[in-house]
Amino acid sequence: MTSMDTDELPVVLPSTTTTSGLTIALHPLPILNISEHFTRLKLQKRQSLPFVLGALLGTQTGREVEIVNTFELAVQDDQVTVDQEFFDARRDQYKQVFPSLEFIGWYTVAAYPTAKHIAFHEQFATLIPTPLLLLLKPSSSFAASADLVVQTLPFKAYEPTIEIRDRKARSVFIEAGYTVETGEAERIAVDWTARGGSGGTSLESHLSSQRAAVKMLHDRILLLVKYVTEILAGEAKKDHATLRSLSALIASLPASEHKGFREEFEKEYEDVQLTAFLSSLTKSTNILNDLVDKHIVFTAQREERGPGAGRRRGPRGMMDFH
Amino acid sequence: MASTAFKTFSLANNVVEVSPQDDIYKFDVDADKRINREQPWTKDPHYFKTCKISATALIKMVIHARSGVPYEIMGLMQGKVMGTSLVIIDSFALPVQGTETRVNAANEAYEYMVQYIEGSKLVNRLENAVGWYHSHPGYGCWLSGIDVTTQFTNQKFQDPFVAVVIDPNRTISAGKVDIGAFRTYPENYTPPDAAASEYQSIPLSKIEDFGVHANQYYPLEVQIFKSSLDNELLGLLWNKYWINTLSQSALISNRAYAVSQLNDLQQKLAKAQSSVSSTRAPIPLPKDDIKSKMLKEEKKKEEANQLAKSVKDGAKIATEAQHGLIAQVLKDILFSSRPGAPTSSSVSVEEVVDTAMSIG
Repeated sequence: MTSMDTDELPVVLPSTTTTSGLTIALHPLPILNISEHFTRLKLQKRQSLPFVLGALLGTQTGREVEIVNTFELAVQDDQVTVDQEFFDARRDQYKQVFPSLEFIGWYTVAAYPTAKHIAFHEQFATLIPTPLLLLLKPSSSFAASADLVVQTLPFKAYEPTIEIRDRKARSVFIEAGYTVETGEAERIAVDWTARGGSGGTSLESHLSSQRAAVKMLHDRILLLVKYVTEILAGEAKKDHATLRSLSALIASLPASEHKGFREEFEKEYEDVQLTAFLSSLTKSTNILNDLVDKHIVFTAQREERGPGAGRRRGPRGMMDFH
Repeated sequence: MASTAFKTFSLANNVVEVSPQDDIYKFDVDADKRINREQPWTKDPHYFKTCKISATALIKMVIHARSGVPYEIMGLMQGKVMGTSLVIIDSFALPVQGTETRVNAANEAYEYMVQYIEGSKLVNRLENAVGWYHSHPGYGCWLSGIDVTTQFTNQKFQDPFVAVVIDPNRTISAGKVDIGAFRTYPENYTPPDAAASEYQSIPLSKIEDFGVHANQYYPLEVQIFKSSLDNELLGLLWNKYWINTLSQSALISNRAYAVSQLNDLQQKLAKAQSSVSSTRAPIPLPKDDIKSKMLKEEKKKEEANQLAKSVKDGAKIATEAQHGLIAQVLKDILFSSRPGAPTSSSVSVEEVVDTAMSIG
């Protein structure tokens, strides 16, 4: 972090020369955890960019990585060495509760990786061969822009690798793309907190979330249509990979003309309608029961007053039974 | 365009955006010590009125609860007291599986707890443990007899402490998080008036346990809060997981739970069959009648009407199933119909929505 950095080579390899082969799936929980960690340290230390360090938990099978959870890490007083004892203790504790999750990497808050991060990387590399790095980019301007393209999450994932240059090997990072995946419970919880956590008529909220999702689909499709029309008009550049995947997509519609699927679908539909029928049947039974009860009260009173007087003053407005 | 979708999100009128925005996350050591010395909650059994839970704590608890189905899981929550509300900033899972017969599952996890909380101080998580949470997979958010006893002890020795219950099955079938926060009354304290709580559909096997202890605790209002950064990230996240909203199907993922609900309804109806002959019509009372005794008797008659309760249960099952079906039909129309050709299936979204509205 001094002038001696000028003869340091950049720590991230440009993405045009090398691409990471990993497929990374990031869940919303780590994203929110890291944000909370950052906010908390910002407030406690009253700095706008405190030093944040934590571990990533997840699963890695081959080239597919899934980042599911995180926990915070402590550094020793020299600010450079990870507190190994704490790390081991915490990792074992998480192992007890979530036995399927492994330590797969670490995270911190910075605009881009620097030599300092390489130093940390070396420490983590002793535990697992390729610890991933997840960076949260701190920025005060996530300004909401209506442009679909600009709205990306301020997180970047990096895969470590070795670069050989001048007959020396050094660790560098390659940027890796990631997708966001969620489990169903996670999605509902995230959705609910995003809406502030209150109820509302369940039908209304269900329909509006479906509508919002369909609208997003519609917007994306419009974007694709715009792209294709521009190609036809000769304005945009043809990207064969995109066009191939588009035609594959269209060819796979309709998604379900298969007879077996139709049968299953209809059966499920019937089952659901049966429950609706059951519910209205129970409701009518209850109303009938109520009515009978009230009728009993009425007729009991009528009989009490004696046969003569009561019959003449037959009650008006009472429902007839046919 | 995406901002409109995000605005469609913020339908609810209860968006508790903490102001000054992120101040709630700050842990003030002195204020905390002061309030722990004063302990205003010992003087008033009804002191705590709300339970504010942070977005991260909530999501962690829901995921933990879901991962543990069909077992009950439990964990601890860390936070602080602010006025008359218990604020929960973080939660962590305990390596214990609860069963109804284990009163002191907490003892086994004691070492884990102590170690975790000590370690937390090293990473600037200074808050103390202020509550515990556990899950009731499929049978609703309330405190069972064992839970009440555990919470009694907690409130005696570890106050301030709150009990939170989550139902992961209901969360998925209803499409929103089923969560409740409770505090028990001290022994020998009778609440001034048993407020009618919102009706919950409780399976027959548990309904006695629920009824016996229902007056020994009261629910706190649950509010969710998030930081400004959380807000922005959640808005951006929507851009990614709208796909999951369409692709996931509540009908399929919750099939076992739906079946058990129907079974339970069937048992309740069988019970209703025997008791229905003894129902009496409620006597209409003049509105200004202060004869509370009569009112209470009327209420009791209502509660004894097993058939009426089954109606509510049936309506709930049907509504949730209809919601799941709406999603399925939407997908069918979007992805299976060819333009111009008449839809081969006899299904249309309007019909399903109409059915859903007529049930509720």
